[in-house]
Amino acid sequence: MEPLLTLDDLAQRSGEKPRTIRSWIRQGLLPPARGGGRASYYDDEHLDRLLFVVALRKKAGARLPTSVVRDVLHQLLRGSDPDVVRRVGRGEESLEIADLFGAPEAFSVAPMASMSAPAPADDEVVRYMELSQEEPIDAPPRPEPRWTTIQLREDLELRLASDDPERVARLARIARRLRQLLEQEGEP
Amino acid sequence: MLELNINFDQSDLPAEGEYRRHLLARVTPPQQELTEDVAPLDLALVIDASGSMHGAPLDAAKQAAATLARELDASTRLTVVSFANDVVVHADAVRLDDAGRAEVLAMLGSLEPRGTTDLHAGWLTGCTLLAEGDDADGRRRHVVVLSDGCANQGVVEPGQLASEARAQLDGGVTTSGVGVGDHYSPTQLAALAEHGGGALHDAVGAAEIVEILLGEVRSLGDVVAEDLELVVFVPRGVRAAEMSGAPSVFDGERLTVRLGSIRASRPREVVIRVSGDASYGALTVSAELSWRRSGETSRQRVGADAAVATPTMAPPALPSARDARAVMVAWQADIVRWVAAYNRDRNQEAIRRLWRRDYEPFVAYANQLQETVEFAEAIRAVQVGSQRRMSERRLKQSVDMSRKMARNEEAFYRDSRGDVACQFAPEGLPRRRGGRR
Repeated sequence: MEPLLTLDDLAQRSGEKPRTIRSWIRQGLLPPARGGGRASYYDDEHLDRLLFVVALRKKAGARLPTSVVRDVLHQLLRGSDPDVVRRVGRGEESLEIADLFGAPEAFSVAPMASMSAPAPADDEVVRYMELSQEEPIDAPPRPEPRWTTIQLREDLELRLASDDPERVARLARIARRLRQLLEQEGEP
Repeated sequence: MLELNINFDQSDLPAEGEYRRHLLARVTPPQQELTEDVAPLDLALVIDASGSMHGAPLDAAKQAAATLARELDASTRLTVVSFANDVVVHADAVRLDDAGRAEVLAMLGSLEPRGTTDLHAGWLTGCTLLAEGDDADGRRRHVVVLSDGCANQGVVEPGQLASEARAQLDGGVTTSGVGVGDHYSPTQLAALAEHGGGALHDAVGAAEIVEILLGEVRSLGDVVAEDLELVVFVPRGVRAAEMSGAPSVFDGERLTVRLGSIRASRPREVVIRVSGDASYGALTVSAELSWRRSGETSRQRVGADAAVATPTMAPPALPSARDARAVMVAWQADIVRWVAAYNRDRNQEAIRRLWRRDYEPFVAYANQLQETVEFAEAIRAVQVGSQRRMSERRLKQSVDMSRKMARNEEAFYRDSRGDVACQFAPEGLPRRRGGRR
C-alpha cells in the first residue's frame, strides 16, 4: 500500500535520519504515525512540524534541549496562528523566538532558504541555552502520581500513589495477605 | 493438535514478468479438543470509568460484570478493575463460589464514573493482578478491556501499547478489547487486542455492551490454542504480506504472522499476497505453525507440505471458488482498512492512489468466477462511498465487519449491521439486513 508519506520520505525531505525522526515522535515533537503497524503513514502535519524543528535546531544549535523545542512548538500550535509552524518550517517566514520567552533580545529562526547562512554567534546560543534552563512560561503542570486503590471490603481499601507496576504488584500481594488475615480473624 | 495446510490460489505463474499470487494457509482445530479438560480461567474485566462512560454505558458494563459473576463456572477467578485518571481494583481474583459471587456483586456498587482515561494503567493493573495470582500456572489468564474513549493519560502511543501487550502475551496473559460508541480509539484498543493475542469488538452503544462482553467471555471456553504464530518461508526476491491486517513482520525471506487464539468452532484461513518476478522460475513456499495450549508455557509446532507455483505459457488457471472467496474477503478487508484510515484523515489523494492500484485488479479477480462476482459489486460501493466524508460510526463498523470476516471471528452484535458495502451507502438510506458474519 502506498502511503502519503513514508518515514523515508520525511527523512529525505528534512535531511534527518529516520531514527532521529522516530525519537522526536517518541518525545512528542511530532504526532504518532497515522494508521499503525504496517499501515503507518505520515502527512503534511508531520512534515510541517518536522521542518519547523529542523529550522529551529539549525538556528539555535543542535544542543537545544528537546523539551525547549517541544514547548516552543506546542506554544505556537496553541496560539492564535498555528499556521506559523508551517510557514516557518517551509521558509516563508522567520520567527522571533524571544517573543515567546520574553528574552531581552530577538532571536530569530531563519527561513529554510537561508539555512546555509552562518551559525549564530556562540554568545547567542549560550544566552538561549541559559534561557532554556528556566521553566518555560507555559510548561504543562507536572503530573500528579496516579493512585491505585484496592478494595478489600466495601468499607476497607488500600491506596498507593505510584506509576510503578512493581509497586502496584507489591500492593496487590499485601492486599491478598491482608484479606487472608481478615478471614482468619473472622472479619466478614 | 492443529493442522496446517497451504496452497496457492493459482498453481501457475506467467512465463515471464511480475506475478501476484495468494497463498492460503488453513489452520484447522480438532473438534475432539472440546471434550478435553479446559484450563480454569482467571479473568480480569478492565472497565473504563472516565466521565464519558457516565450513565448507560457504565450501567451496562456493571450489568455485564454482574451477569458474568453469576454465570461463570465456580472454578473461575474474577478480577474487576476500573480506570479513569486513577485505578480501582473492585475485585481481585475472587473465586466465583456463592460467597465470591456475593462479594463481586457488592463491590460493583462502588464502580462510579470519574476523571480522564488512563487506559494503559487500568489494563496493566489487570494484567499484573492476573500474573500475580496464586497458582496462576495451569490457568488461562485473559483480560478484557472495555472503553468508549481515547486514552489521554499515561502511555497512549499505540506502538508502545502493542509492545507491552506482546510482552504480556509472552508471559501468558492474553487481552481482548471492546470499543464502545464512536469515540474510542481503534488504534489504541487494537494495539492491545491484536498484539495481546485476543480480539477487538465494536459495540454501537450501551445496548450492545452486555451481549458483546458476554459473548467474548463465553467464547473463551471454546479456545483450544493461544498465541498462534505462522511463519511462511519464501525465496529471496519474493515479497509476502498478510492481508487481514494481523500483526506481521517480513524480513525478506520469512513472513511471521501473529494470529492470536483459535476456537474449536472457528478454523482460520490466512491469506498472504506473494509477488515477485517469474523469470526466477518456480515458486516454492513452505510454512510452519506454532502455538501454546491454554495454561501451558511450552509451544507445539506443525509444518505444512510446500506449496509450488510453476511458470507456464498456458493461460492462467482459475482458482477454486473456495480459494477465490477467501482471497476476496481478505483483499476486501485490506482495502477497507486503508480506506477507513485515509477517510478518517480526509486524505483523498491517498484514497485515489489506493483505487488506482487496487480497483481494477480486484474487480478482474472477482469477475473470474460466478461465485465471487458479488465482491466486484461490493467494492464498487466501497469506492463510491469512500469519496464522501464518512461518519466515524460507519468507519468503525466497516473495518470491524471486514476484519471479522477475514479472520472468521464471531461478531456478537445484537442486530445485523448489513454487509460491508452497506456501510459505504449514503448516510440515511435504509441498510440491507442479514449481511454475512
